Amino acid sequence: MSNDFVINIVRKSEQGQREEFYNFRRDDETVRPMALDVLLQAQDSSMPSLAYRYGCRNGLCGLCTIDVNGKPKLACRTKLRNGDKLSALSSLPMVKDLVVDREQVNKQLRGKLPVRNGELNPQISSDLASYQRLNQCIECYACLSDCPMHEKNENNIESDNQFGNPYALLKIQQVRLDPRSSQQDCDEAIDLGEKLGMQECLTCKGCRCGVGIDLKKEVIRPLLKSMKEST
Amino acid sequence: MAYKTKNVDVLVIGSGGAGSSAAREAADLGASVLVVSKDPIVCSDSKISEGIVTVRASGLRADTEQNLADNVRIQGDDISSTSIVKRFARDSRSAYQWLRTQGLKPATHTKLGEPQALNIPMGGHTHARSVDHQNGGLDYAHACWNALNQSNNIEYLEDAWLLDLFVSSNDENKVGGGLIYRSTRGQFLSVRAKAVIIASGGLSTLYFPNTDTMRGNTGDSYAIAARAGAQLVDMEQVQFIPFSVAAPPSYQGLVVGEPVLAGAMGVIRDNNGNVIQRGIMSKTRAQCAAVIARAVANGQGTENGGCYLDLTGNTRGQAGDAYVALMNDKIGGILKIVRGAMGVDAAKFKQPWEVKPSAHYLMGGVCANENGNALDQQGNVIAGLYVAGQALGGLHGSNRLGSTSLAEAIVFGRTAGKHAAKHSRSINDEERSEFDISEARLIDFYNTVITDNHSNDASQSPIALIRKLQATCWQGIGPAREERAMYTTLERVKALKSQLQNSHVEKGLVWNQTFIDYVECRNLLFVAECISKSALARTESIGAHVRLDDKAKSFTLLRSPPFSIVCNSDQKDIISVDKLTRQASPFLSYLKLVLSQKTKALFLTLVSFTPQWCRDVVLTRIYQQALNSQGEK
Repeated sequence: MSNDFVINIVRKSEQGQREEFYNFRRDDETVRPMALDVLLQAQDSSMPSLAYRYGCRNGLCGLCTIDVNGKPKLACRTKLRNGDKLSALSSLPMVKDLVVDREQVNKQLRGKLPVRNGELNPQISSDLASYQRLNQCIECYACLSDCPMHEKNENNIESDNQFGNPYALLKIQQVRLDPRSSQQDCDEAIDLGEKLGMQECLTCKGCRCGVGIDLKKEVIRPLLKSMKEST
Repeated sequence: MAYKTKNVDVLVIGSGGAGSSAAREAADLGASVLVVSKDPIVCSDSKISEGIVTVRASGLRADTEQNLADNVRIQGDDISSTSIVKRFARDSRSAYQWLRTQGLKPATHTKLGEPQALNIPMGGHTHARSVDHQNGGLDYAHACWNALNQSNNIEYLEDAWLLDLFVSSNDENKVGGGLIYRSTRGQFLSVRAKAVIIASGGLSTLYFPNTDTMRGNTGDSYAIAARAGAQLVDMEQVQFIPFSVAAPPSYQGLVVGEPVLAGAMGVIRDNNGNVIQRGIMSKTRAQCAAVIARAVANGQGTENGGCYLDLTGNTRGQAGDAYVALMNDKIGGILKIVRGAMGVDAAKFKQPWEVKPSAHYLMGGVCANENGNALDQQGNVIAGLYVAGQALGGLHGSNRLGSTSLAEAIVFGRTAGKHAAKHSRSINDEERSEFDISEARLIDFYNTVITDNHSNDASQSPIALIRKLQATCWQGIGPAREERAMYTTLERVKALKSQLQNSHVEKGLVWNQTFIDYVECRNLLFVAECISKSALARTESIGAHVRLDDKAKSFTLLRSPPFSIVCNSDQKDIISVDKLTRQASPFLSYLKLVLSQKTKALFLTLVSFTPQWCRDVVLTRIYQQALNSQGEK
């Protein structure tokens, strides 16, 4: 049937996983729906217990990241094709259906980043421009997928993460770019990066940001350079 | 039912601007703090906002506390609390300073390092005092993230829903913690706290999909506080932003413009192309939303229930280039939405945009004093309960000025944090058995929901009831209201309430979506009833909605004394409303503001009728000035 628009939704629970095929009802057949449109309609019609996250519907809050055909995408801004497969982000511990546990990613940094206390007056510098560019991060956690450092974690809801990820390194690099940081703050930031295992980055091809920040150029390379200099 | 317990000094609900600043302030004063947030931390309305913050006298321009306070009160029709407004005016500068210590950097600043405001007075402000940021709300959110993560006294739980508060069984109004549903761990968590700060305001999801705010805005703060004995105020004052996307569904509700950005030649047109509003720049959000709502109610609307925002006139002549440059610089994010929803030509101002109002903010909230203490029906402090941010009522009255919410969040977040920490020190650690009965009752209630609500009728799922409620509320208590329709809304709310009691909730505790929907539906129904009853009690059009059956004149020099509507809930969840008299602003301040608004409108009318060459000179200058707020670096 040419009118069919069937999306494979992978539903997971403690009992295991099953694929449910949802036939999306299109009001306008020329418009491709966003993944979130499909999830909303599926829950409203035949899957009232479907678990999924979303927030702003505008690519800003970073909550609705799921795997679309195995790649991390924002559900609210990813247009689907007939036959696409939606599943929970594979890089974080599964909770239910499309929901993963995100808590450890932030908690790993809690109380660990140096607190900057320098002068408030902003100085215009290339560092400041880069600092502001890193603020484009919406915490969608797409960058965790395929990260060799993050892959060393147990991916288990019960155990704390030992190893970092590109998001953690972004927060670390931001400390170093902040004109308010002292030399000691910058050194501590590098130490934290090493503790989280950023040596892995030396042999990695590079990471992919969900909103297009050039992580390799703005985060990884400068950090690796400082790491080498400090050893 | 198995549940875990925890003891802390201060429990904070919510982790946006208000929650994170409240938590940090309390933690800095030595309190042990637990933040619970039903969405991951900082993933809040603060984060997805435009990120523009009110800072009085920014760039050291002349702007007194009195200027700001008068502005807020008069634009809000004097129904706000004078003491709360005064506190806001006093602390907006220190609030911004606090944000900077957390890592926020203004987009532009003066040579002395003072944050520089945009050159245009934003939405209803008499002065240019709105500071913007390079990445909008994301910059603000990263600062809040730092506040939460850089203190060892703060613990937080994500995906944790506050269900209800523990109240004292003694004969006094007191709160001592709350019951939390921790969805990812499949647990109920009973938190005993010496003070609780509610900073999870917002109810716009009541109008989904006609809203631009976070999904989680389900009115929890108001319903939970009211069930614990707090009084609510100005609940009918829902702010509708006039210019939001009407279609397609993936974009519906997202904001695509502010009156101040409509340019001198921007107009609103009805479905037949007739101009129904000129001089948009001199109008408030409320006035523009009312124009559209009225046109739609009169059958002049589009198929999707909107009108057209026509900005094409701004691009004519030499001033056109300056306007387009200004827009591309200041509202790039908005133009991205326009491109996605309406196409490339629309984003280049070559076509009018189909727009309709969308729910953005609740200007009312929990009754409080200027220290953030929640108040009961008699106006007495409820010991141990504080509110901040959008949850707090009494600041905005009937019209929230642009960019005030991000300042309000920090002003009252820090205030609540400070007073909650102080209060927690005054309480001894002895057995607090006065909360046992309340705790047991709540655990029993929510346990019963999970074990007993098992209708087999799929149409009775909580999410289906939420969708019905949303459609009902947009019709009945949306931007256009009338008495008869509101009585119908109340009837439907009542029916949905009883349907919810027999709805289908699945068993199991790990991320039980049907249970989450049940809890949120219950809160949404509660606030829908509050809005309806409050709106019925106020028969004239004031605020961001229009009463289609309003007989009063819109502008009169003979003002009746201003009043707010308050809501109270009794033991059986029956909601009653009452009037609360407010203080009118001095007549001269009122006149001054009205005249300045009229002058602006007159200026815009004159400009639109002058020859093109003359218009080019005037407008190019205005637009370039607005673009170059960097000029005074």
